[in-house]
Amino acid sequence: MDRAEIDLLRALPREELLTGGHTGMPGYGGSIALRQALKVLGPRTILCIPASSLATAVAQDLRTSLKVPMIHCLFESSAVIASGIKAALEMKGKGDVTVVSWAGDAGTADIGFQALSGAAERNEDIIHICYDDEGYLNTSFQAGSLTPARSVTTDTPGGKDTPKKDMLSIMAGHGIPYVASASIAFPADFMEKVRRARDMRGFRYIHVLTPQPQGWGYPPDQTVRMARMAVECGLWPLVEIVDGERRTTHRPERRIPVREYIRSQRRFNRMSEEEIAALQEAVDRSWA
Amino acid sequence: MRLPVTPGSYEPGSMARGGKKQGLPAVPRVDAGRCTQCLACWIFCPDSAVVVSDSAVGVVLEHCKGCGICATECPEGAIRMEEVSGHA
Amino acid sequence: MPEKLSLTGNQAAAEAARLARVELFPAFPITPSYPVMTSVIRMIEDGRLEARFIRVESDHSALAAAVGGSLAGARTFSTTNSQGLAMMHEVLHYASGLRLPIVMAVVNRALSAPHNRFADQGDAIAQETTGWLQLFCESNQEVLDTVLQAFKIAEDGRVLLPAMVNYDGYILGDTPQEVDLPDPARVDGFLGSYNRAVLDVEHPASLNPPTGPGLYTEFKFQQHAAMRWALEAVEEVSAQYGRLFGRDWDGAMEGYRADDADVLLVAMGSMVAVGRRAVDGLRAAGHRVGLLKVRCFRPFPQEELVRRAREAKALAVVDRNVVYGLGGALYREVMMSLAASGVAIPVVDAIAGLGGRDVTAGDLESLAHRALELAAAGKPGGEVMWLKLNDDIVGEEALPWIGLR
Repeated sequence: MDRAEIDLLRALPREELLTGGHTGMPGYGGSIALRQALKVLGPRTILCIPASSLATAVAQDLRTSLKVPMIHCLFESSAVIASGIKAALEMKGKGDVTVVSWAGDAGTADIGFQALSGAAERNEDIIHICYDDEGYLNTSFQAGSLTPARSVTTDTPGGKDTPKKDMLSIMAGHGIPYVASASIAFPADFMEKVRRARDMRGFRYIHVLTPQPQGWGYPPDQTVRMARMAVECGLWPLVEIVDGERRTTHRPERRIPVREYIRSQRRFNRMSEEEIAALQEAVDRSWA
Repeated sequence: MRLPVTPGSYEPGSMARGGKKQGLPAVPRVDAGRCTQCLACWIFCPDSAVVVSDSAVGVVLEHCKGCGICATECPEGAIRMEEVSGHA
Repeated sequence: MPEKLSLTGNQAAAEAARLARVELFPAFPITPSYPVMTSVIRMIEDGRLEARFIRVESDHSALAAAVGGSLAGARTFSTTNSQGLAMMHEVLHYASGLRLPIVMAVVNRALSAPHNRFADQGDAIAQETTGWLQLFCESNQEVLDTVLQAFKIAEDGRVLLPAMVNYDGYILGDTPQEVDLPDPARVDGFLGSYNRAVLDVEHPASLNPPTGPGLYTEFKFQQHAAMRWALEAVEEVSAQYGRLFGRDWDGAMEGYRADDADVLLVAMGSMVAVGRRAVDGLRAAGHRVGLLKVRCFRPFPQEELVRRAREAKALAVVDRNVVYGLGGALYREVMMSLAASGVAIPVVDAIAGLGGRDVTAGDLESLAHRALELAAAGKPGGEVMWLKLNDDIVGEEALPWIGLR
């Protein structure tokens, strides 16, 4: 960590708006992302969380680990329920409250995609944050459109044969003011993006990588390291697209081989050396 | 106990108190001498179990799940995961 | 001075939404409810209504947006029917479980398949267990009055349940009738404002968390109790509205020439108007026939039905819907109510008017004659018939059933 990052962390509020005691698995990337985002979003935030591993973890029966208002919403609808909340708040003169649709990959790119696309097209004044663990982990790991090719999941036991959907391009294609990618291993970068989104109006989209040990197949203490390697090998670029203009916010000094990332996770056990070599070539081309 | 009309938890942060605690295989131990309060452990903890002050870093064992991210991420090697005695 | 206008049912619903000062209107167009949208949007554009319209991308999203808005404390309204209402199904349950007083104008239309865009109450019946109040209107005046009353009932602290105001597509939805517009100031006094924000940064709560077997039943019981209270509220609000605006639609049920009747027709929606004409024709011919108008289907006024029907010798129910293999839903409610009170009289059910098929006063007179036959025979029990089923086009296997018509 460099000086600037340490200073930024020290300036953050100490209060935890996501407390301990939630039932997320050890090493859960999703709660790291939510904690980091809430440091910037602050208490005048309403979360709309659809069916997801996070929703299952943070509140149960009459108890909750959240200190901001939250609605556990229908799977398809977080982006549009958030839109309704925001519209009502404005009618009631509470327009300073930030409404965040916080969904996993299914709630963003699959079952939730229609509502997301509709809200983006209408430029609804909300932030959608996708916390991406690249699969449906709440139901013991099925593949979705954000699952990378060759991932072994319970419904792609031979390795998924289609590529991960490019959500950044899709969302940018809606003409919205802000699109960004992030990783929990780069908290200053992520939190700066959340801050920028918080202070803007219109539909804002942030896509943050949140590795999940049990599904991906690595020891729990490696979650942040996985999120770092994904960026450092070039598979997970950190970018911002502001009013259609794209820029990279972190350029790895020397990209590590994708092999190092791939071979550290059991979900890629079906990937051959040839496939890894082809992936390396594709990554090299994309960074050329 | 009366139920609310709209189902929900109306006590913010109530899960932080008095939850069922499972035995951990290992817990983090902070070497204060090596700690530089860079706050990496704090910002990477999935369970809000790391607490920081201006001078020190500590771990709330009630919330810690023993994942070991803090120990792995500490740039100074100031955190060690110590096995809890009596645990297989 | 009340304003008299010539309004379609859809326009009447929109006027009521305006008078109710709804704040949020998320809606997705579908035939034949989309004119409600067109009217409300125009009112917002003109500045006659201060509300946010959300141009959602599906019917499911329309109600989902309404849930969001209502959670944040806005008085929320929408409109749909048939396929859209069906698509909203899980959101209907969700809205009721969250105890949100959303009001929706449902312009009843047949459900696919086959694809049909005409009047049919099957779309509402298909949602009868979702925990929504279901009111049915006979005229465009009643549509306007009932939408206003629906907000009052739904927002009642003992109720806090969403409400559907149903009226038949095209027959009422697109047909102009004379409608009195109540005085806006008086409506403001009647309804007041709505501000129940369950999502509130000042009082953070996590809503709808995963809930275990230890609590789920009690939450459902609360909805059940609220639905029972709603029946009281329907009566109270109807009477209050009558005092304030001069029109009392008689709560959950109305009797027409019913007190001394041997046979009672039982109907919902625009069919009631046809039933009144049938009753008048039969009375003129010397038959003691009356009508029970069911205005509130959910919650169903069981006790009132029994009270009004127990002295009759037979009932003739008209169902613009069908529960396959059983009969009509209104028939089922009637039979259950009678049986639960130990009243045993013959009941004939006519499945009629599906998919917009026309039902005339003459058709209902024939039905009443069948009931008079049953009354004379004096044997309790139920029979189901399909009115005017075309035996030229129905397959041979159905012939034994056609014999019942």
